[in-house]
Order: sequence, then C-alpha cells, then structure tokens
Amino acid sequence: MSLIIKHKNIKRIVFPAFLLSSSFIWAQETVSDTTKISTKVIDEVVVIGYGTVKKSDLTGSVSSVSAKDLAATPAMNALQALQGRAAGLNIVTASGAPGASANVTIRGGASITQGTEPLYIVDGFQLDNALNVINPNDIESIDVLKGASAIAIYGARGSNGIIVIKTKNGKKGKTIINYNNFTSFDTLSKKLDMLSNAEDYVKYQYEMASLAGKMSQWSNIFDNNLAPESPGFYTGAFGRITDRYANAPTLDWQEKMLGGSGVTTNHNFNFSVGNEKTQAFISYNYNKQDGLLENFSETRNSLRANVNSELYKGIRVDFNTVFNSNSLNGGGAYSGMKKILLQPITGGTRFNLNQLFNSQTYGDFSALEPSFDTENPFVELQASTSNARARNFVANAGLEIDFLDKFTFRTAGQYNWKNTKSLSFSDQNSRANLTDPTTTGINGKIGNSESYGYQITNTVTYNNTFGEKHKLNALIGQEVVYSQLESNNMTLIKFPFPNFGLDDISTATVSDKSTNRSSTALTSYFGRVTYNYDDRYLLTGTIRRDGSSKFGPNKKWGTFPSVAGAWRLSQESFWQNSKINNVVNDLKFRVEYGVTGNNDIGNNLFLTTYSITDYPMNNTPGTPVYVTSSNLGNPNLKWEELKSTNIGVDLALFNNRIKLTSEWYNNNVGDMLLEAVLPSSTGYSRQYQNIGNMRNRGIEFTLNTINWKSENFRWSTDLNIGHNKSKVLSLEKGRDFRPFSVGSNRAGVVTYYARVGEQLGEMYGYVYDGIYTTNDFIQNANGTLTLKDGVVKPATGTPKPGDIKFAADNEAGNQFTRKMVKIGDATPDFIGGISNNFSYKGFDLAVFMKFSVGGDVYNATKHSLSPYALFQNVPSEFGTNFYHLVDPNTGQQTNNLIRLKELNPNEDSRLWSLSNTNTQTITYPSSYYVEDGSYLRIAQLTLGYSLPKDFLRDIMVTNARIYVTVNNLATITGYSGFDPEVSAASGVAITPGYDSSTFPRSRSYVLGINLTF
Amino acid sequence: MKNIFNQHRFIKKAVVMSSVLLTVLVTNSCKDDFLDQPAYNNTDSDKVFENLQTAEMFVLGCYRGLVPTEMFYQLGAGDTVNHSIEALNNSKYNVGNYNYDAYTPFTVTGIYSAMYAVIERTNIAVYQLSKMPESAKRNALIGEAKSIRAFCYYNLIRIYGDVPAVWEPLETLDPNDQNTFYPKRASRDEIYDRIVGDLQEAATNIPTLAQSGFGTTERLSKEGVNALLAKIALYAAGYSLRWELNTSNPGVVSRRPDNARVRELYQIADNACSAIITGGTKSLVQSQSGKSGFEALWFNFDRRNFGAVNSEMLWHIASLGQNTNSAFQVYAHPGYRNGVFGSRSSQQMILPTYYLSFNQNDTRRDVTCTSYSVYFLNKGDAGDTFVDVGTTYSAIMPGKFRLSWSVEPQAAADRNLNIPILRYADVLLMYAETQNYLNSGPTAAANAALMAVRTRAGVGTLPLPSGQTDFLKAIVQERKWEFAGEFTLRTDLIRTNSMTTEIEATRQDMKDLTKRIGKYANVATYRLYKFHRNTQVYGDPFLALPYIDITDPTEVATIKNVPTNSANFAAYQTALRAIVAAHGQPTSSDDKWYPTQMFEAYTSTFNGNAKKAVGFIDGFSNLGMGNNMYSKPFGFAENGGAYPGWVESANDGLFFGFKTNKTELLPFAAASAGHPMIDNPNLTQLPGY
Repeated sequence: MSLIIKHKNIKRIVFPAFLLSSSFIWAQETVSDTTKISTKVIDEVVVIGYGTVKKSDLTGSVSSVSAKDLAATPAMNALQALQGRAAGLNIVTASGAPGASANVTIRGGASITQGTEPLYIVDGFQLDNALNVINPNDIESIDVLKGASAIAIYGARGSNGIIVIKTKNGKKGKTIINYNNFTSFDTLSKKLDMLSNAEDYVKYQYEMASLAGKMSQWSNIFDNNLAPESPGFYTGAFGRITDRYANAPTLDWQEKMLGGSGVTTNHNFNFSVGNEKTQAFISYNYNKQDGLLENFSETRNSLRANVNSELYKGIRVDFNTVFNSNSLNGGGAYSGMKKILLQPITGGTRFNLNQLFNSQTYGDFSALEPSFDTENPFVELQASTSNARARNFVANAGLEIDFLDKFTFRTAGQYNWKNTKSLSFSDQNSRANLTDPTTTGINGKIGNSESYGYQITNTVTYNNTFGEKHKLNALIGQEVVYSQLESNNMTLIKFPFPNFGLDDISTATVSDKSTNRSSTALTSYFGRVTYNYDDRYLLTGTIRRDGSSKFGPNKKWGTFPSVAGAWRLSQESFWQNSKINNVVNDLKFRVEYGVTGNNDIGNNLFLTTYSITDYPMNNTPGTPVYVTSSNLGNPNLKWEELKSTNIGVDLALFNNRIKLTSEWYNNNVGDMLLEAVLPSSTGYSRQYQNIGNMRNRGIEFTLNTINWKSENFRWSTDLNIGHNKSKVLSLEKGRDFRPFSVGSNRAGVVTYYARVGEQLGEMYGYVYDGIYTTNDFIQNANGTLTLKDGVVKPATGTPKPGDIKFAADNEAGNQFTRKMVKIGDATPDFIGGISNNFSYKGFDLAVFMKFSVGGDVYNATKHSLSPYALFQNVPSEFGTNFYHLVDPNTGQQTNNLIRLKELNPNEDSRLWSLSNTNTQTITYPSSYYVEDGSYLRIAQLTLGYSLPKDFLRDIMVTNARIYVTVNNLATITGYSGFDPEVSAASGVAITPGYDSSTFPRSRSYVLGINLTF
Repeated sequence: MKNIFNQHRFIKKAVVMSSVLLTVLVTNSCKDDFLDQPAYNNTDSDKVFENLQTAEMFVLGCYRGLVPTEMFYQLGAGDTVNHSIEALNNSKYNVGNYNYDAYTPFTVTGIYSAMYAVIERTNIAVYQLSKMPESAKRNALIGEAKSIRAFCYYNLIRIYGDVPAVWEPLETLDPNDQNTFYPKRASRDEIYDRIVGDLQEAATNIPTLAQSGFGTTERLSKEGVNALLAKIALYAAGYSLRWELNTSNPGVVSRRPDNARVRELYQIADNACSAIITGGTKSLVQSQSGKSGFEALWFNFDRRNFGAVNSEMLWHIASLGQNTNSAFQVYAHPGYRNGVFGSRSSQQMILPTYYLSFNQNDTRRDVTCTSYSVYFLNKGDAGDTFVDVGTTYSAIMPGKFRLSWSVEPQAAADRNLNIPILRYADVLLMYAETQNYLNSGPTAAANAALMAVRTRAGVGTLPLPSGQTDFLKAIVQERKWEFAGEFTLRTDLIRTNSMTTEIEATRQDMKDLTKRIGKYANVATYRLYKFHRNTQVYGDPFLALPYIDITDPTEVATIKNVPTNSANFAAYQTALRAIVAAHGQPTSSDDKWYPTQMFEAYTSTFNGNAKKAVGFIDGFSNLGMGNNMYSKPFGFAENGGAYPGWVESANDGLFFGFKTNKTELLPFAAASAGHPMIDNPNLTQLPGY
C-alpha cells in the first residue's frame, strides 16, 4: 500500500477547507519519502475541571491553545494573545487605551443582561479577570471548555463557559533560563475625516449661527465682534470670511493629540530548575505601556514562583504564589474622542491657534453657545488625571496522596488578596473648576477597595482498568469558595490650592463619602465517572450540587447533571484493517448533554433592602432616615439554567497533517436572570427575575493543517470559524419584547430590542430617507411653502427643504409617525481567525488574521459628531455637503425654492441643513448611522529569525530569536468609523455593535528578542 | 505500590487523617449559615418596624423626593406667569407651551416614578405601622404616611388624570396577578375620596406644630394636614379633563358628575380651612425691619430663618445639602454670570404682562419679579465689578428664590433652598373660595380672608367684588399675584375652569403689549435704570433696582443721545441725573444711570451703547438666562413690524400647543424603556396622543 494510492483517493475528495491550503497535495509528496506513517496520534493532554484527559479520550467540546501559540508573538496581556485563536471564543477589547477592559464571550454567552464573562480557573482555582491578570509568558496552556459535559462539572458558575488556564511549572532536568524582551511603538491606525479648511469651517459656522439666531455670538468669535446691526454685516459676511480665512491655518486636533507614538517595553525573565523529585519555576515580568494620549499609561509587574515536589513515593505537594502590581494612568478608557474631534479648528478673530490649543476655551465658547459641550482635550488631559493601582496576591497549595492502590486524594487551598486604589484629580485648569469654581472648584476622588477570598477543594479520584479493555475513572469532590469585598470612597472638592493634589487633603471639603462591604459564599459537592471501553467507546457522566449565598432561603441549592459519549470509529477493528485508515487516521463522534447554571448577580437580591440616608429634616443636615432601595427583592429568585447539547466530530487525515474539528451546539437558557425594569407605578425601578428563555445555536470549525513540511521549510495553517445565532424564545408573561436603549441624545442613541422569536442585537430606530428637497414643495403666492401631495409628512410640524426625511411608517404610507422599526442587526454571520505560520531555516513568519462577516455596527461616533452646536467642528461630509439655506449674497436665510435649488446643486445627494429642526431630529436613532461592520484584519504579522545554534554555543546561549511584529497592520472594511470591531455597549449581550467613540486601536510596530540559556 | 504504602504508613496515616479532619471542618462550615451572607449596610422591613423610633425614621424618609424637578421646571411654566426660556425645540419649552407628545417625548416622566416610589414607601409604613401596638405616636405616624401618600396622588391626578391606585406594599401582593406589576388607570374620584378620608383621619391624629415640639413645618403638622385636606378636596371637587377610561374618545373639562359630593367636598375644604383660621396658631408674615410682609416672608424663607416664617408656611419640603430633593433653585431666578454665585442660567422668565398687572402699591411685584440680572462690567474674572443690571421686558425674571438671598450651598450639586408647598395665604384664599361657593356669593368671612391677603400685600384698597362669579375671578387673579412660582397656578387654573380664558387673554395681552395698544397704550418705552453694584454676598437683601419710566418726548430725546465717545460720558450722566431729579428721585453726583429701550433686544445697539456709557467694557450680551428671547427685539415695531416669534407663531409661539379639552392633562411618555406606556402594557393613553 503506497502513499501514492492514497493521493489518488484524496484527489477525488473535495473538502472546502482544502481550498485554503491548495499546496497540500504537493506537500504530501515530500512526505511520501518517509518510510512509515504512524497512525497514532501524538496525544495532547487537555486540562478539564479537576483533572486532565488525553485529547483522544475527550468526550466534551474543548478548544485548546498552547503556550507555543501564545509565545510566538508579543502581547500586552493574555487577552490580546488569545483573540481569534479559538473557535466560539470572542474577545473584543473595549478600546485601544492602555488597560482597556475586554468583553469575553463563549458561544454568544448565556444571558441577556447578566454578565457573559466565562469562569476562569487557574491551576484549579477560580480567579476573576484572569486573562488580564496573568502574564502571558507564564501560561502553559489555555483550554476553553464549551460543551455541556465539560462545563457541567463547574455547575452553577459554568453556563458562560470556562477558561481553564494552566501555568508553567519547572521541568525535570536541565536548568533553563529565558529572557524575552520587546519594545513596541504605537501609532494611530486611522484618522477620521474632519473639516480642516478654515474658510469652509467659518462659512459652515456662519450658516449654523444664522439659522439658530446666534449672529452676535458668531461675530464674537469670527468677525471681530462686529455688531450684526452694522451696515453690510449680512451682505458682506461671506466676502469678509473669504478675505480673512481663505488661506488661514487650522489646528488638526487628531494630529496634535494622537499624532505621536506611544512606546511599550516588556521584559520577561524566567527560569526553570528541577530534578526527579522537585521542580521549581520562577518568572518575573515587567511591562510599561505609554498610550498615545498624554497621561495614559500602564505599568505591570508580576512575579510568580512555584514548586512541585514528591515528598515520598505517592505523596506530592505543590505550592504556587503570584504577586502582581498594576498601575494605570488615565483610567483604561478614554471618553474624550468626541471632544478631540469636535474642537474648533480656528479661534477666528478671538483666539490665535496657540491660544486655542493651550487654553481652556470651554468657558468662552459655552458662554456663547450653551450646547457647546467639548472642553479643550489638551488642557483637560493635563488638568484632570487619574491613577488606578491594583495589587494582587495569590497563593495556593495542594497535597496529593495515592492510597489503596487505585485512589488519589487531593486537598488544595487558595488564598487571594487584592487591593485597589483609585485616585482622580482635577486641578485649576479643569473644566469642572472653570465652570463651577465656587462650589466644586479643584476636586478629586479617592477610592480604596480590598478583597480577599479563599477556596478549598477536596477530591478523591479512582482510576482502574479492568481486564484489558475497561478503563474506569471516578472522581468525587467537595469545595467551598468564599470572597469578601470592602471598599471606601471619598469625593473632595474646593481645594483652595492645587499644589499637593490628593497627597494633602487637609484643606479640601469632603462632599461625598461611602463605604461598602459584601461577601459571597458557594459550597458544592460533585462527582464524575468516565468509562472507556477499548478506546472505542467513551462515556462521561458528571453531577454537581451547588449552594449559593446569592439566593433566598428556599432557592439556594441547585443540581446540575451532564452526560456525554464518544465513539472513535477509527479505532474499530474493521477501520483499522481497511485502507481508509491510512487516509483517515482518526475519526471520533461526540455527543453531550448537560445542565449548568449561572449565578452571576449581586448579593441579597432576594431581599428588599432598606438603607439609611441623611435628610435635612428640621433644618438639620445629616438627619438619618430610612429609605427603600430601588430594587424590589425577589424571594423566588433562582438559578439561571442552561441546557446544552453539543455534537462534535474530530477528524485527522493524512498522517495527522489535517485535523478538523466541527461542532454543532444548541444552548437553551431557561429561567433567565434578568434585571427586569418594573413599571414605575410599582415604586421600584428594577427587580431581578427569572424571565423567559433564550437559545444560542451555532456551528464551529477548527482546521489545523500542515501544508508543507520539508527539512527547511514548513508551512502550517490554523483556521477557526464560529457561527452563532441567538433567538429569544420567551420573555415574561404578557410581553413579547423588551427595549434596551443605549447612549444619550448627543452621544448617539439607539434602542436594542430583545423580541420573542428574534435574535439578540437587533437595532431599532427610524429609517433615514434622505432629505426634503425643493422638488417636494410648492411655493405659494405669499412665499410660504406647501408640501406636495404624496410626499411623506414628518411626525410634527411643517418641513422645509433640507430637513431630514424619515420613511413613512403609518398605514396610509404618507407619514412618519415615529414607530421604531428594525434598522440593523449586530450579530455577525460568522467570526473567526486564521493564522499562517511559515518557517524556513532560522526564519519564521506568522500572519494572523481575524474576521467578522455580516454584523452591523451603529456608528454612534458619527451620530455624536453630527452638527448640533455652534463652534464645534464636524466631519467633512457634513461640513462640505450640507444643505444650504443661507444665501451668500444676502447673508440671510432664503425660502425661495428657485434660489435654494441654485444654492444646492445635486440636492438629492446632500446631507441635511443646519436648521434647528435638524439639530433636534438628529437625536433620533437613525438607519443613516447603521453600517456593515464586516472586516478582515491582519491583526498580527511577525517575522522572526533564530540565530544558528553553532554560533550561539560559544556564548552559552541555547536559543536566540529576534523578531519584528506589526500589530493591526491593515483592516479591510467598508466601515467608515475608526474601527468596526466594537464591543457591546455595556458589556451585556443585548447591545453589541455600538461604536461609542472610544479610543481607537493603535497600529504598533514591535521589535523583540527571545533568549534561552 | 503496596510496599511503599507500608513503608510510610505512619506519615500517610497522619496526612490522611488530618486531611479528613480538614474535610470535615470545611463540610461543617458549609452548613446553611455559611450560605447566609449578610447585607452589611442595609436592613429589611421587619427590623425597621421593630420600634417606633426607627419606624419614625422611615416615615421621615418618605419626604425625600416628594417634589421632583419637573414639577417646577416643566410645569412651573405655562401658568400665564412664568414662561420657559429654553431653546425652542427643547422638551421643557414644549411642555411649558402645552405642545405635548408622548414619543419624543415632550411630557413629564420623573413625577410619575417619584410619586409612586413615595407611595410604595408610605404603603409600607401604613402596613407595617398598623401591625405595631396601638399608641398615639403610632397613629400620628400612620396619619403622616397617609398624608404624604395623599399628596402624591394629588400630584399624579392633577398631571395625568386617572392613574393606577396602589394602596398596599408590593411585597404583600401576589406577583402572579397582572395588577401587581401592571396596574390599570383607576378612577380619580375614587382615589380622591379615599385620600380625603385618609387626610380627615390624619388631621385628628397628628399633633399641631406647637404640640409636636418640632422646630419647623418641614414635617406635616395638624395645620399642614388640614391645609392639604382643603387643597385636595377643592381639586377633587373642581374641574379637570375627564374621559371615559374604556374608550379613547376625547375628554371634556368638567367637574365630577355627583353634585352632592362636590358640595360635600367644598364643605370639607371649608371646614379644614376654618379649623386652621379659628385655631389661631397661624398668621401672615407682616412687615418688619424695613421689609414688606411679603418680602420678609421670602427673604427669611430663602435665608432658612424658618422660625420667622413658621406662622405662615404651613408645609415646606426640606432641601439642603446632598441627598435631598431636586435642584429647585437652578431654574427660576434672575440669572447669574460668573462671580460668587457661579454661572447659573435661569430657564424661566416672568411674562411682562404679569409684571405690568400689579397695582403700583403691590409689594409682591418686586419680590416675585426682578427687572435685573447679575452681570459683570469687564470679563467676569475675580475682582471684576458685578452689577445688578436692568433688563428689558423680555427679561423680567422670577425673584422669590434668589441665590443672593440664600445661604451658601456647599457644592454645586447641593441644595440650599426649601420647597414651599402650603401657605396660610393659600388657606385664606381657599376659605374665601369655599365660602363663596357654599353661599353662592362672598360672605363677610370670605371678604375678610381676601382682604387679609391684599392688605398684607399693600393693596387693601382694591375694590371688593360682589357676586359669586366676579368674586371667584378676583380670587383667581389674587392667586396669580400671590403664588407665582409656587408650582400650583397651572393646575389651579384648570381646577377653577379658567385655563382657556386665561391662556387666550394672556396671548392677546402679550400681542397688545408688543404693539403698545389697548391697556398697554401708555406703557413707557424707555426706562432709566440706576447703576447698582451687586455685593456678591450670599444674604444680600437687595430687592429691586430703582428706575424711572421715561415718556416725555424731550427727555426721550435727551436719553437717546447716547455718546459713543467716552469723553462725553460725564456730560451725558449730568443730563440723565437732571431728568432723575426732575422726577423727584433723590440722586447724588456719584450715581450713574443708563437708559434701556424696553422693547428692543437687551443686546441692541442702543441698549449696548447705553451700558457702555456707564462702564460696561467687554461683551454685555450674554446674561445668565436661556437665550431665546432677551437677545431679540420684543416690540412689534422694533421687530420690523412683526410679533416676536415666541409671542406669536404656529410652531413655537406663546402656548402654541394649547388646545382646550386636550392639553389640560399630560400624556404618558411612550418613547423608550422607563416610560409608563412602554413599561406597563395595561396603561391606556390620554385621548389624542
């Protein structure tokens, strides 16, 4: 049986995936030289809950990412490293600012309004926000548990999926010392096209002022404060603008604020030492990232040390300790993009560019135009600063004893402690001080929070093989998890003098102060049985019973079972004996079903609580009174329940050079925990309820191919694609939809509906239908305008040319009545990542691309930049293409249809006028701002070179690799905003695809070195 | 394996045993009390109502949030006295001009949720207190909670008409019953009857202010409850927009159909007023230390000298520092730019027709209305001179609640001004009204009550009307003079069935005023204001800016001759002082005066130059006011032969949205989550929306 025959077989089989690796056939020929092809898969080990399992024995759905995948490219944190690497795992960072938070969801998440963050288990212990905390260099492997059977062992906390992280341990044998270093230069990846020509800008301002009746305010800034009553003021206005501003310089605020580059440096040092009995690993990491904006930076230090030792044969101990320190300047997000974009680009006759850039002009502009809401970002960034410091200590230890031949007892405990201190300070130049110097003045905030917790886990494992073919593994365990959080906050105002800032608050006034304390407890019992018959039939059953302090007296406990089976067809003797075995090395079918829970809600929500507040009765401030909280307690609150079915196929072909895993899943969430909005007539605003059902259904493919493998050259491709579609099955009785509004009037507002029978992430608003043009009106003898018959009528009032037109939505089809309709759908058809890795001799090249196809984005950035206030800048498309109502000859508004037509060539393609009606209408959610957010991003490109070993031997270096990386190299997209990859507006699944003018992702150029001694 | 096991038997035993022990310990701690994690900084109803002391703390908490911002911001305008000066498309402007719309929304939503939040709290208090052992104190607390609840329903009904009625705490209701979370509108008459009964019961159980030992009337006393009873009984008996709840047919402004009950309600109101008047513990604040009675009342109220106003102020809402009621003072005041009071933009003005309606002796005008605003001479920096600068007819501002009279607030978000709800003057005028109704004409007691109010104001000489209709009209007018800015006039006009006539008359008056015809034919076009520095001190008792109306053509010619060259300023001042002297005003050579054309824009060239001539240097164009009106001409002629848009135009003129039998009530908002029509599928909308 020769390999050539196999080739012929394949040539007749067409897998779509092969299109991605067309060179496969040719690569195969090179391999054909090897004498024998092993059909035995080199078994990877997968870390699952409370144990490990060989990948081939796995019955559940798990995606694994190894240290090798993570280490090849530099990453600020593990979140970044993991993005796009596993099917069904979606990680979107909220912004490009240092320390930005991220939304992590597995298979769409299992909740509408509750957190969809998965549970993180690090070395067997729960650790919140683990991907942000753990140094990526310390990670040995990451396993993403997705299927019912894999997550059910975590019971009540499992329904959003589990990310299991194993950190590196010391290795037996030779001492290994690693040093990794990289330096990254970050630059702005895209600029928005804002109006930049002074003359256009001032003319735009003139028209806006004219329509708003604010001519003297306009003149105050742009026309030497010439009184509008002066002769020739109006008729000469456009001429004066041209004379004065035709070639006037302007400020490019984006360039000024974000045009530079930020620098990141990272040093990582670790060593591993060990003998047969004891191994140790120590790692230290330093990372300093300077953001593009001034006063935005993050510094991380982390130290990890662990020891594993076999004290006596059959008795093992492990000990692991981590200390992290993280200091973040600037708060992790930047809400000021809008302020940068909307800054005036010229100070007119009132301010020169230097003054405009360097002084807090907010007071001057807002005095003239109350809607002006953008303080000087340059001054503000220096005037209002913030720092958040977190220190995190974790220690865990375990003891393992083998007894009675087949049993292992393990007891392990963890203690974790975290201290967070957050400071913010606004000095004398801040907007807050300038707008309210007497009652707020120079001000600051101090927040401290401390949390600690422990976890104790005891398990007994039984492992046995009966006869030749029956393997049995059983586990029972018991666990407690406890955590407590205490915090205190203080707001200080009226610092008489800023010089010591928050380091001396003795002269400031305390305006607000609070303390908080909460604790939660979870106690659990669990068991698992795994049965393996002849490596052909695999069966796993788990059960877990959890009690949680978050639920009322009668609802604390929940039970979560699961069962899974797998059939390795490729292990059957008929398969082994047939020719097909030479092509298909491995074929496994998996089916699993299980129930898991979610208790991701606050404490004591089963109670209506009464708190004390002060109320100045009897003219005495600080008189204590009781008030009820705005949340109505729900004593019947219970676990959210996820019923999950997963069917998977694992396939390995051609000597394991092609591995394909595909999965289908159906996740039904019942008794959804929802923060229900109560009608205000109840006297409460919200109540947590178990409302309705939702489904997530999807398919996932993971394909790993080795496209070419020869002595010097190797090319491999890893592709993952996930498709998830949600559907709301029911909501509370009597309701078939539930609106969630995002944004506020001037920040770009849109409403998402959770509607029975529809998927999540659907945007509702009004359908933009262009503008009213002169063709829509008849001019009457007295000059007034009448709308022609058949032209859609606006909701209120009488329109005029240039007004925004929304599509008719009444039954007669002739009027817009403000019924919200679906204007967008944020759920992508599929998302995924593809990485190609090439190596040639000492060179390696990795190209990693991410993609998302089919989801809409609500461009709230654009919405918030639409014209609404005098003096503020606008995007070029508005500034140069708005509908003109002001006649440059007269300097006054005209109502004459003929003249308007002359003033507005190509009327239909224009954007709306600057009239008061439109500045109001643009607060509506509009389909104008809905854009296709599909993209393909070259997220990372790395070229590395490993120095020849011969060369290194002399200098005691085992391995040396230098590399360059470009992050965020290019994005192919039709989206007009900064970046189509946007996270859910408030971190919940209901409101995805909302671009809220966050700090854009930067493009970074990285230089790095890896050294092993 | 076995071998090894034996070898380390002791160690293994020890380790296994200790591990088992550990397991047992942990398991023990896993009993259910481990799963009872406490709420550390709050408690539940059982604990609060364990004793009367904490129960009283709960009842006091019910006063929080009783007057949401909308009550005086949106609904404080539109009463033919106060007018919104927000941007024309603004929701407040629309509501102030009766242009409601549930979908934008142009209506109010905060009152709805705030009232029901308090109703739930009072329901809890009534339910829980009733389970406690009976005592006078307990009964008084129940009465207090019921009275607060009555006030909430009264607010809801006068704004929305029929509203959901909830009388039990939510925790005691069946969560599976639709009505628990999604109650329908209930008959307002039934709600009124119940709360009138509650108040009658409360009036017998609550102590008088003197008996209570309480220092202020921030808490309801017997007198306060009686006044509230009278007020609500009059609303229950009065006119409102009514429609059949099960249809969406348009409503009609009418009284409730059962006439006997209407009369009974008047009688209840009459009795309640009479109880206060004959009780003898209450009186109007009279003139003192150089201040008129009305001025003394408001100055002391703003200064928080509550001891000085306890006799008249029957109930006011405590608001001081953080966590109290709404930012009451921010919207209706003379307007401030920079300086010690900060930049505060008034969002309401006083209609000039109202300003001009006062009798010249009426001391209420200059307290209620200011014809000045606080502005600066140069750039408004520290050390600049701040001025109480005279304004035009389109910038007459509300004056009862001036920052300059107040105590200093602690922080920008803090409050420093209490919210007046019920005054003895109201009791007197209500009494006059019930007497007039019950006896089909004014009685001696009715006349005496009206006269008491007028005499205090300095207009005791006004003729007393006779006949039921005229007397009622006089009361409606008296209420306008007396209660401007106290958040009751707008609905009082509906209750007394005078809204349509008042709105239409005011529209016509405003148009006549801009043209200076009819009763405004002799209104002076020019005024000379005296230059007056603002002291920039909280507690400054400054009341009104001296001025002289100029009508004489020669004098007009003199003042119109404003020099633009500073060399001529002194001569101009001399000429102006001569005019002042000729009008019998004492003036010294240090005084400066400046003319203002009252019908032009405040920012007009003439008005600007006139102010430059007394020392205004930099821009003098942006007062601390919503900027729609004062920077535009007001007079018909000054506006190029047209009414100013805010006075007369279809889409944003004065009261442009008003429609009889439609806009007397407000629709429920229906735009997004949090709005009654969205949150509660069982609610029905006001017909026409």
